Amino acid sequence: MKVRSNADWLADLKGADRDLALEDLRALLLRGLTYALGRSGGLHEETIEDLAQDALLRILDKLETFRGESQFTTWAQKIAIHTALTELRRRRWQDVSLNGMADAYEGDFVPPSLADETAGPEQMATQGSLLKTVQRLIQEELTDRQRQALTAIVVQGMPLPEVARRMNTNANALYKLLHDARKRLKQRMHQEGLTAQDVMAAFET
Amino acid sequence: MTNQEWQSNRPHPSVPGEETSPKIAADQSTGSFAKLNREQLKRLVELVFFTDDDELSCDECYDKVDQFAELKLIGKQPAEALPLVQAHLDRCPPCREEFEALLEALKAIAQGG
Repeated sequence: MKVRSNADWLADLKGADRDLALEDLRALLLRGLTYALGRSGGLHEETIEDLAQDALLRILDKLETFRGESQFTTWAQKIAIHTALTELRRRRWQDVSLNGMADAYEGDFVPPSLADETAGPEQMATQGSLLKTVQRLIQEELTDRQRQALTAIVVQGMPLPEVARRMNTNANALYKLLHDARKRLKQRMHQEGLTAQDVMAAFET
Repeated sequence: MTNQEWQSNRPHPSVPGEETSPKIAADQSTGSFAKLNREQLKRLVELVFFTDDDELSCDECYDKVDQFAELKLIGKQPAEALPLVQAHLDRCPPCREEFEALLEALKAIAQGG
């Protein structure tokens, strides 16, 4: 493959050498995604090729936003991985709705702390008390949307970008919504006299 | 409420299955948060206590993560140069997953993969 500087990549992708540059970039993305997604396991070669193709189109769309703060190829791999993992998360969670997840937990609350033989009675009681306090603060301080997002992330373990998609917003806006929620809860916990040290001691085994 | 008061307001010590267990103490009006298990509760309080006023959003982290990855690959200390990126990666699992995948890809390609 031709060795290119950042400026060469931009020039080639927009100029007469476009076809060759596109082919080189596509091959590079394919290699990168093959390694990057290796941990996901079980992905067919064709799936990775499709993801690389989608990523290539996304990168071409964003060429004007490249500021040269890293190697062009690093920037391109970053976009490819983001595009691919966003799609894979969407597929993985596609059949799960926010409400559906909440329903799945109805009537099924047996805190594992109760079954956790490493926690003594004192510690379990502390956890129970903490749970009550956290519940009250969540109820008092957070909006419905903040509660809904926090439930999906903490209770259901759904990745933030997927929660954002379901709540018709984007990851950035949702992060800010949750950041505000966390700040409020932190402030209230301090007002309640709870320190991080005390609280984390409730979980030490 | 002071911490002492908070401590004294705890339910009586209990053993699994007894009526005074934390399960009973859960307030159903809070919906799914009545159903937090131990690990979820721990994760929630960690999220809250590790909150900083000055945090990068996912987009702001994404803008810098390619630089961050390159610093890491050449053996520099990216957490010192870009501490807010490190902090975001520490608290945001999807962004961390993407960063780790990027590192894997860059390392493999640098080694001629």
